[in-house]
Amino acid sequence: MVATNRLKRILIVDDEPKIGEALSAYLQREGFEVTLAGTLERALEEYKRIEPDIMLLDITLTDGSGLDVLRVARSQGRQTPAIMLTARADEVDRIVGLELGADDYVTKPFSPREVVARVRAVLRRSENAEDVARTSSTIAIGDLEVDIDAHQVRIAGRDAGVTAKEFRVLRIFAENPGQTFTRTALLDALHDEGTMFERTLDRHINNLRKKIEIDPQTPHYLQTVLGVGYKMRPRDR
Amino acid sequence: MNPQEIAALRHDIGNALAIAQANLEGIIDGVLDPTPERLASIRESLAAAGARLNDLR
Repeated sequence: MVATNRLKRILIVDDEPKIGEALSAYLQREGFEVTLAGTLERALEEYKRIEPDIMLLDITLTDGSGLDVLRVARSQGRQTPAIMLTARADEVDRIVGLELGADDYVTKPFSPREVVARVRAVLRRSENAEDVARTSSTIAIGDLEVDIDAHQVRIAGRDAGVTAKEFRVLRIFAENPGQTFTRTALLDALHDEGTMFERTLDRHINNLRKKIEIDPQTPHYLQTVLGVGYKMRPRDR
Repeated sequence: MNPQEIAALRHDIGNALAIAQANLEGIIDGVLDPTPERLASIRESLAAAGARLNDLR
């Protein structure tokens, strides 16, 4: 989690000041630092200025749409969580279907308490997701590093140059060190619908060994479990 | 009434009721003061919602 000591900043965008004020009063009581904007123009300015932790965005604004704020945020590569507010049920399908990735929506009229609960839930979810992303981006076992984000395997810091398929195979082993996989279980884990066969799998394993093992004949990482399948060497205790 | 008109109606009534509900709940929950202005705006919002509802006839 990031900077737990400071107040969470929330940007509320609604062209009805009386709605913004009421939401603001509730969220301030809950310990949020609230910034209000009544137009798209103000919303974009405030978004840049305060870098909010979460946003409440009304879809219909006099000079645009709350979705534009989300669009700008996403175009800058920011994943700021957002809850959309809308008085039109017919907009809901559009919001949910959007690739922009709003985290939730609330239809008007709403209970402010319900909105506060949604804000908390979305923040909790996004913080958990951040934690997972941070811990899972690279898996290290001895000198072997499987970098999930970069889709790269390094051995003693050097790029092992694995192919996309080899990466997928190795990732499963790296995520489950010490666990023996039969060929069938491995194919299941790869969700491969008939494009990879057991013999192909053996070839991928052999190629991986050439790339990551010092001596592919006596593998240190990708070990054979005789008569069963393969496993990744367990992590050092 | 065409779909655009219905959407506009839904938007206006939803917003008006949202103002009334959010402010009334705020007063009940003790996060907003029941100032005469606030009470008046709740009444106005309910009246506006009612007026728009009558457009459906």
